[in-house]
Amino acid sequence: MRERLRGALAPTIAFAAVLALWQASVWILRPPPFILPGVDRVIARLIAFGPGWVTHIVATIEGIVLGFVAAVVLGSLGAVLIVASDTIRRAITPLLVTIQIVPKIAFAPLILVWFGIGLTSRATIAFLIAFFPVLVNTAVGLVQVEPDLLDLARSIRAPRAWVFFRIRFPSSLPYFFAGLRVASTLAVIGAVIGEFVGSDVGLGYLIVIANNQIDTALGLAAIFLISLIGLLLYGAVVLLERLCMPWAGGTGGLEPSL
Amino acid sequence: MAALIEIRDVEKRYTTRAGSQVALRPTSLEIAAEEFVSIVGPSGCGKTTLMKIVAGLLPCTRGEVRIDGVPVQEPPDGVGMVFQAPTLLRWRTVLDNVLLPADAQRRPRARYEAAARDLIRLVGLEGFANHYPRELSGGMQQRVAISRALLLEPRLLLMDEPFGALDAMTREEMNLELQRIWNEQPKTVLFITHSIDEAVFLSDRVVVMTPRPGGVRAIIDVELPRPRTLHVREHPRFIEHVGRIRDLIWSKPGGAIP
Repeated sequence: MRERLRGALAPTIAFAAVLALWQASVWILRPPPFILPGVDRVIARLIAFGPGWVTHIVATIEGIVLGFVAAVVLGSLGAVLIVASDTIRRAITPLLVTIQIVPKIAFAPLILVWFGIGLTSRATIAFLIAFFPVLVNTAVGLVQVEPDLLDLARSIRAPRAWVFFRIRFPSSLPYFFAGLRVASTLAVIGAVIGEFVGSDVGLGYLIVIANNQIDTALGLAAIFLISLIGLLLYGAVVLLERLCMPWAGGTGGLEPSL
Repeated sequence: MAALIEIRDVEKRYTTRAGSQVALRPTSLEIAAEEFVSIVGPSGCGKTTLMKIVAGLLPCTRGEVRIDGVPVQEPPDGVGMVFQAPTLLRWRTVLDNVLLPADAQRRPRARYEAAARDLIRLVGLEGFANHYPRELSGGMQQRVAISRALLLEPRLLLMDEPFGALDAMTREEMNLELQRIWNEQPKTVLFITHSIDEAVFLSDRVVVMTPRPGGVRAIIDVELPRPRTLHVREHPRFIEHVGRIRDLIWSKPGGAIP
């Protein structure tokens, strides 16, 4: 525990230093608050907005979680299909590469046209950008198995299904979770963009409103909350990873790990 | 003594864009039951190819391998394999890794657990049964791999440069250990190495292979008394064997010895 506290000390100081630098430059340079409010003003606005946050926070979390869960479920199912069937792989790999190159964000206004203003649109945009890292990582994880390990499995005459569930699946987990980490941050971006493009609720929507009203402190407070949500989701993924892979010793399985 | 393994005119060719490449020139070899035979030769001489053919992991282009008179077409029963990398499953404890062959063949765990624990003791890992591979050193991991190969009481042990990745000290220790294990549980061993020293130390016979395209150059009988200690390396006969094998590997057939 003391080790942990000591480990947390340096990052805490780094955070505090950035905030202090921000506050100090506001005090010294005195920019107009609508250009750059100080930390104190942002905190004051955060508190003053009070219960007003609740509906927006809930809406944003809904978009993120729905998009993220859909990306994880469909991404890993897709990866299994790709790995299981050569025909499917050959048919859809070029398509996937093409889609991956297309900037998914460019579809956001179109998705709004298709699904209208609401949770469906926001979650769909989040899903679209979070989906591919899950798919690609999981597929790579399922394919990359030490060739010697497969030889070993053949030499002990292991059935195909056993090789999949006992060797391929567990050895893909570190890659799957690496994909999940990336997807968790992308889902946040997607949901917020969904709220920018067309929404009547959510923290992203609130940022647009705050901008229009030149309420910069409110915008920054909303950004702070979005970051907090993203951080919590990322932390949840890391926690799940440790629970699922106790044998990796908390290094995330893939080396080097951040 | 009747031969356990008969290798008759086994040849391996690969068809590449550059045409047909010979990986292994026609090779014949007989190995008696409970004999320790090493194959030594430089990288790319087809040692591993030959072993995979014997293991039934790779079809040969010509010739055949028989184990106990039965032609090898797919991985046969009663063969244990050890590779250069320990190829342990990171998510399984030492005990569960050793039990892997029984698990793959859906044999009842209860029947093999005592045997697995005995093997863990035999290779000197008592007290490590519940450790994960990442908690073990390279030499210890390779000991686990040896236990795993011995679990189903194979008649034949195929070892492909099992100590090639270990440091020199650990390697000497493992050579002694392997000799001890082999004394306690006599098996037919086909051992691949590019260390001439190791081959002479461990073997009843050493098969010398030539550089690519590989083929058998000579077979050397090592009649040094057993059990051999590390000091056998100072024995004049040992030194003589090592020198002779080195010459055989690098000289052209019929040509002068460099």
